[in-house]
Amino acid sequence: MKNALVINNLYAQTIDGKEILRGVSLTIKIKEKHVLMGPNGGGKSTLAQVLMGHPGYVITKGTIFLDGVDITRISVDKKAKLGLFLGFQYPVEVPGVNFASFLRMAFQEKKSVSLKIFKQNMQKNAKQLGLREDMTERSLNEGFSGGEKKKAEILQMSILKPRYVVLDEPDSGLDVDALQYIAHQVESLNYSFGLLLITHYQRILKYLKPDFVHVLVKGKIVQTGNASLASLIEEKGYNFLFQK
Amino acid sequence: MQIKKQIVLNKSGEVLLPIIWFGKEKEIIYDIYLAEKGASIKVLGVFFGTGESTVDVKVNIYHNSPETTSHFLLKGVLEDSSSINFDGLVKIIKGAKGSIAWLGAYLLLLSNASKGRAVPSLEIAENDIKAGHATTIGKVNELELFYLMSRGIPYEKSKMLLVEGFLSSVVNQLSKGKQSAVKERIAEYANNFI
Repeated sequence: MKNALVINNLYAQTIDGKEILRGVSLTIKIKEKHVLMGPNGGGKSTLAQVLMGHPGYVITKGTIFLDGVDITRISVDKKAKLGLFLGFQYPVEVPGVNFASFLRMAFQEKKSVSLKIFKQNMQKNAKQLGLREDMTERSLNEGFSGGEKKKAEILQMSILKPRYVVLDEPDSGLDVDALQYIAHQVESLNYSFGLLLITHYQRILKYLKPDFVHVLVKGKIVQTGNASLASLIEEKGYNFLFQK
Repeated sequence: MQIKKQIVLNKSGEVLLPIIWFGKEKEIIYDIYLAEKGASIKVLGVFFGTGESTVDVKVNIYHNSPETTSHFLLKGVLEDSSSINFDGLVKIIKGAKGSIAWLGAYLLLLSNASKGRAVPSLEIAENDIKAGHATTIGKVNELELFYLMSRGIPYEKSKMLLVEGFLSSVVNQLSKGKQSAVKERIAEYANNFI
């Protein structure tokens, strides 16, 4: 399917053989906002990591198609080049690698840009996120506070403009101000993309209105609904889903 | 090829000693004597092995006077079947009060066939000093690699970014001229496959 990220019956396990995803199917079209919720240990973060190609997991069954291209088993950098982006829950600190040079290098894999224009854009977006100016001159994620790391992920996204964005708990550990910055930046990006937002909390949904809400339990999506499903979960917890 | 040098510091003030290896020498030996009060040396080692290059490195630092300082930092990157065999000794004699010594050696193995060995030793006969050492020998961090690649940077380029990042803490302390020389050599190497 063109203009969609299609996950079909995806099974994945850790490299030491523990099965985590047990048949996930999900279609995210361009311009759609999907939210993935679910109890701890249900496989939310694993799904995000498996989609991107984390070395700690193996896909045992199922497929992932991006704009009609089978990306199930292609390399991580190729997935990114085709337009997949993962905003990490725990962004990796990379000592000695300068944030700005790294991001420009990533950008230039797709399009060349002068250093001056690139930096102007980056600084503008950094400012919109409420990031300190000197941050982009530091080592990648090294010594960043929790909030800075999350914002820096969104900054990378806003520069790389991927077609499909998976944000793995961008709201965990953030205060309300930071949350608003992030939600606002994601909402105000001036191009079309499909979003899969993984979250524990309903509070980010105050600022980011989803089209679909899915609940992942034990490696499978057990319920799909609209924004009201999130409110229901907030109110009653996940157990009500199983009481019917 | 061999480098064998003896350095005697007879006055106070810091001396910078870069040791840069890109596979040429087979043996590198330095004996460093901090002979006068307040003498201080900073040794910066950048090692980059490719092919079958191999080197034995022996550095002995003697704190023979009070308030002498040595700061030794070696970072080595080993590709293909290259190897480094490093022995570092810091000796602080009785009476060299107020001396400070730090010995750090860190090796990054880029291939399964490359080998690193790093053994630091401290021989200390004086109580009123500060001294420490650290060594690590490791491979490229898979999660760091995953993170860089997840932004669309291919494997080999990501690996070189990590190599540059790994070396940066020592390279950045070199003189400007030496810095660009080292960066050029690494870029030259990277161009072979990027």
